[in-house]
Amino acid sequence: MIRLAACVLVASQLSCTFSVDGHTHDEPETVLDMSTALLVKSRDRLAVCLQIDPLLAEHTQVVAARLHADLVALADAHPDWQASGLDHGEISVEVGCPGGAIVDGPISAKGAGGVVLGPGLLEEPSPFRTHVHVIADSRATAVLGDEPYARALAELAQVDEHRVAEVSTALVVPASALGSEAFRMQALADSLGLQPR
Amino acid sequence: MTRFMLPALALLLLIVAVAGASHSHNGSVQLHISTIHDNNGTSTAPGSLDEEYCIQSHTSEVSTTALGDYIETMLTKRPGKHWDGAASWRVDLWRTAKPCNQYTSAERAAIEVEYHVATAWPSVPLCGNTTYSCTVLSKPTLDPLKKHQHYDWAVIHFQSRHVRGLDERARNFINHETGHVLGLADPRWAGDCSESVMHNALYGCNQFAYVTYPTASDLASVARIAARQN
Repeated sequence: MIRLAACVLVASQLSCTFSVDGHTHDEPETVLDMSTALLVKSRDRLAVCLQIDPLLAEHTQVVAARLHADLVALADAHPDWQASGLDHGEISVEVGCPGGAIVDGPISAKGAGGVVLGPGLLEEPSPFRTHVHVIADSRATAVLGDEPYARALAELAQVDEHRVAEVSTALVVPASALGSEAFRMQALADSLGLQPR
Repeated sequence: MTRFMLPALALLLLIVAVAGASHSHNGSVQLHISTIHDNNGTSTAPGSLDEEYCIQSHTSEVSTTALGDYIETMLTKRPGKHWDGAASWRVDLWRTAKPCNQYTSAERAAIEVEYHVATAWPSVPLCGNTTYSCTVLSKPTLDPLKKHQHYDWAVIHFQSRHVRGLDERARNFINHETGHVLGLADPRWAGDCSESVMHNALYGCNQFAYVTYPTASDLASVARIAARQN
């Protein structure tokens, strides 16, 4: 009991181990922060990673620059950018996503059966709120069908014992979509939890 | 020494009592389905702010139809002991006409909750392959009142052995996992027991083994989440 009291009184924001009736159970401090679209406490600005189709490897820097420009334009244009808490710090785009997943076919958007496009469940999610997978236009039909883009779960965090929640979103788009308003205001917005416009 | 310990113990008892009263209502991180805050359906058809759910069996141990019928009965046809109508009908549950896999991707995107059952879930985090039933929340979005983030989709993965009997045990799992979809949490430590479908015999709270349905306390917690009062 004393240990529980000390835990509650002194370290209510820290991970605590409780002992009741001879059983112990860890109550981990959550990494989640539902007050912002960044979703994770350790994220203090919008960071996006770019996973590029090997067919486009020689254009990586150009694609990364375009993606960055699209994010900056979205920040200027979307009315909920600030309300979502995305207006802190500088937007960054980094080449290469955690796990290095390559999309090679249609993917489930909801994660049923554990389908993810990324590292999945992590104790410490990455800094990247969105994993953007840019595929060659020649593969778009095979991966996306008739849809302009696809989304999937990239990273998950534990909520409680047997419940997890998406904290990073995978967005799959053809290269030719970048730079368009439809990409910015629909696909990119959607991947950040903003209402598509 | 005693002089200092007594106030500390009294404070501890107060904290424990308060924690017990609030059971499944533990502050700001009560992740929930995004449609819980409103309702725009009619008496005969769901609206975009209602909760549609589909069912899919991946095992011959229980059919999609049988499980679907049972889930629908547990969620909507046990007045006083079901989730439907909670929070002044902000929780308004509607079963889809077809199994989950018979919808296109676009149609399926409009279904908020999916119930799946299989004999194992080797790839679903925290299901422990054949051990636990578990829930995945996905598609985080901004609350229309811009107060928080919540989730557009929830996928429940049942272990077949938990629900195939279509019995009291199945009801317990169905209502417990649905409680997660609506924002309620598991017990925070062993012995965190109360008259709640989230804190019952599934977690060793044998004194509450009779609770296999949402209690008044559970429904009150969901009402607070729906009203953004958590």
